[in-house]
Amino acid sequence: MGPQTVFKLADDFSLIKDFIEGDERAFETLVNRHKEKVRNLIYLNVGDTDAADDIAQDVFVTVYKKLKHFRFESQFTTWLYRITVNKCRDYLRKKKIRSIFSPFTIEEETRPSPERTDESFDIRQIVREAVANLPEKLKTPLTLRDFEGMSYQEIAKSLDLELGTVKSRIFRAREQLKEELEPYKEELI
Amino acid sequence: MRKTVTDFENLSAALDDELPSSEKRALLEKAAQYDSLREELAGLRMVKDAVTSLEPLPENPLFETRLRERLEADAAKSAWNVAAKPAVAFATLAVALMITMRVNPDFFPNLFEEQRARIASIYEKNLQPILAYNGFTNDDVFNFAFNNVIPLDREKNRGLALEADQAGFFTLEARDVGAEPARMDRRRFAAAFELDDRELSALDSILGSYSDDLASAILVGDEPGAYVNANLPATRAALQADILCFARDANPDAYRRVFRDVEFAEDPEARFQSIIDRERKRERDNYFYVSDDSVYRVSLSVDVDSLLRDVRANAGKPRKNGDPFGPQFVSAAPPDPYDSIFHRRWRLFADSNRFVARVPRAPAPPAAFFPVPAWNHDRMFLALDSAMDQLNNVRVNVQVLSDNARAFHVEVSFPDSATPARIEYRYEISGDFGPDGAGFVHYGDDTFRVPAPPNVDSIFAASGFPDVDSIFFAAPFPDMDSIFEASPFFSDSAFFAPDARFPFAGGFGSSEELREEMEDVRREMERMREEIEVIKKEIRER
Repeated sequence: MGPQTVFKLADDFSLIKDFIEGDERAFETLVNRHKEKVRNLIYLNVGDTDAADDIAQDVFVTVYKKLKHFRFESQFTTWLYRITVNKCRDYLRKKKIRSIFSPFTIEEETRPSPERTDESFDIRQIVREAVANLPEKLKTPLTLRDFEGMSYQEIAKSLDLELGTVKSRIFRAREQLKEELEPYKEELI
Repeated sequence: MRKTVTDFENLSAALDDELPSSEKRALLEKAAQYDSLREELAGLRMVKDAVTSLEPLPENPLFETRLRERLEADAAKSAWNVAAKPAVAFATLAVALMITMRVNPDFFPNLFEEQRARIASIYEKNLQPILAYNGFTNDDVFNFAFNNVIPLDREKNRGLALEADQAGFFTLEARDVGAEPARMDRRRFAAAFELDDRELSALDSILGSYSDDLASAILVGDEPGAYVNANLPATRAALQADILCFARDANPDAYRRVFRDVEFAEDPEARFQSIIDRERKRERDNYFYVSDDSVYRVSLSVDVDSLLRDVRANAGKPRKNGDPFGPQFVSAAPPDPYDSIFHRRWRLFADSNRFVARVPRAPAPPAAFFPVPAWNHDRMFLALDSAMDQLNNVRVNVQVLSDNARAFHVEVSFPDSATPARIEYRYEISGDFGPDGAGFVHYGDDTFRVPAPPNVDSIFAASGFPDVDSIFFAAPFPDMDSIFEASPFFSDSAFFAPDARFPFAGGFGSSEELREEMEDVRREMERMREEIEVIKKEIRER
């Protein structure tokens, strides 16, 4: 049997090094590799498709500008998700202020409700809304864990939290979701 | 075997493969023995599966193209910056500044003023009162007087809390207030002063007379920000004083009882009256604008009558952004030595749950307007708050019954403002439970009197819970034997202490928040005691 050729994708660190040395295509590869995760993480956090794309653009613009200063001390994704979470916070902060001081903008909140029986009943949408309605401090660790598959250690690093806090917040997020989704238990099982 | 909150948390971590395998195995074995743990595990798994199976967003094929366009546009914009020689640019700027300052020393202040006027004209488009739509009830006005909260959005339980502190700052905090227990409300006040129907109607008439003032106090326009009248703390003082003047006439005995520990340097009624009179003479066009990234003061003349007339005429019509009500506003931006643009003394804090602005209070009007010096005004606030606390008998009452029939009661009360620093914990104990480890001093069979402990968690540690958080987490699980079931202070999943002013009532709390709150209460009581001491000293000196 002849020698096997193993095709290995360039890892994030190699791409960053290539980019620092002037290879713009390396940045495009990074974007391509991570954009969907970033968009979905934002979507789960802010609950708005259009905003998800805008914020994701902001995230990668920031990455582009700061990548030359990346210190290779943590995984690229840890750094990337930290930027993403901060951008989501900025967006939610501004949105909150708008909602407080703009009483004339009618913004229907579509919280899950047991009475909802129309044709558009979609259990996934209900779950998504329930996640979006979680307090930010519970929502972010949960989405990083369950949607991005990050370990508690990585989440702690991304959010600058203690490991125990991450564990506790993920548990609290699930408890809250359990309560919110109780009326849909049968559909979920 | 005892099931703890940690078990529940560990079940969640086990689902994520974040527990050492031996620990995970032991936990799952335990779960197999107990229905409650098994059900919890099933529930957590259901939630995890629901979240992980969410479908991702459809891909956006134009994402990279748009990103590239943005990066190119950014690069073009900053190209001249890169080309500029920093040293030359700096020197040119320095020379330009020197020339400008010599020729026109008012250049920068004027520039600020022009910019502000320009910005103001944008922000003042279609200003309308945020509060009038909801309509103020007499309960709302009373709540503002003694609880400092104005409702912003009833459906979403949002409110605006206003505080004026002694350091000369005015704090405006928009937050969720739905479950926050009122420290004093109209109904309890009426009961405390034994008001009959006729008197209650008179009280309502006083409250009603302030609702228009409050309605025009916060204005919003097309832009996300608000104009807040800087005189709101003074309006609140007048409202409090008006209510208490009324209470004194309605039931002098109750009034004396309420104020039994408060000594005034002069006749309180005269002082109340002076506050009311002063408030009625105040200028009303002093507003500050608060947005997510700036605060500035502006003089805004509001034709309140016209404004409210329009609001009433439009009441019930669909609310639509940009619906103009008419030109009720004339703004001016006179130079103001206290302006926050120059002094930068304001602070803003906002996240997705709350928004706080801390700004300097309005500069004091000329002395001629003040029959009472400003410091007496602040003192009056403290005295009135103290009086309300007397009525309310501030008390935090937590009862915990553990699963092996040991009773554990904690009572924190401030029944008497003369001894505010003392906090009393009373434990009623049966079985083998004792104060060991908690360091409490034991007086008698069932009562301990101790100074406030440095660490609130130590109280809960004595009851077998690792910290205060455990109690909050334990509350939602009715199947956890008898824990908390007998307590009237836990309602569903919420920590509920009707006499407490804890921010986490109705939601998740933490030991840190509780500690901070306890510390705030202690400081507040300490300040009050110092103020009363000063008043007493003044009386003695006279």
